[in-house]
Amino acid sequence: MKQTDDQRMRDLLKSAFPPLGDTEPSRELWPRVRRRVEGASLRLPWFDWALVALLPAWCVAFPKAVLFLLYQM
Amino acid sequence: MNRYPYLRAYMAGVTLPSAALLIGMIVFVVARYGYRVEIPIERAIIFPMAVVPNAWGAWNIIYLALQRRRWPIGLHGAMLPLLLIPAGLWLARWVGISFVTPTLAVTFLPLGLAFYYLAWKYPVRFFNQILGIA
Repeated sequence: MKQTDDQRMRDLLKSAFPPLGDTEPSRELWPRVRRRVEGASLRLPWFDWALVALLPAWCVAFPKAVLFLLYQM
Repeated sequence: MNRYPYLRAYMAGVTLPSAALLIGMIVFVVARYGYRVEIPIERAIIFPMAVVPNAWGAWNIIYLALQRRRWPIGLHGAMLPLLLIPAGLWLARWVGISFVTPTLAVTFLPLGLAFYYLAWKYPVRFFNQILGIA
């Protein structure tokens, strides 16, 4: 009796969910990811360089602020 | 690759704070158990572990939603500490973390703004580009 119920449940589930079909991606994705990584060139304007220099200076001037930074990360 | 953009924005947003959490945990644990610094790590870790990564993910979703307005991502990220600092202070007071004080928060503010600006302009934007939502 239980076996027929299980079979019925299986049939119902199969009928409720359509087959997935082709689950493979239509094209190779890894070369696209590589192109994106290589294409992302890093150019820092002077303002960002100033901020990069400010960060360690601020940490040296106010060491306790580093603790707060860790708390905020 | 164009499906679920908000899910991908969330994933790109949580990546950096989740990785930084490991460094924060190491520093806290070494300070607490190595050098006997009195930090209530069990309570202090709630905010960086539960609130901050989710806030970054949600903030990146908001950025994606506002992207049509050409809102700069660095500026967008620099606004996040203005929400996180009061939230962190409130939570610290609620769970009784003594080292997180309003004075320290004010001292931290310029550092936080600069750090968040750079973190969002470079790493988060990079993750957004990788996930195809930039």
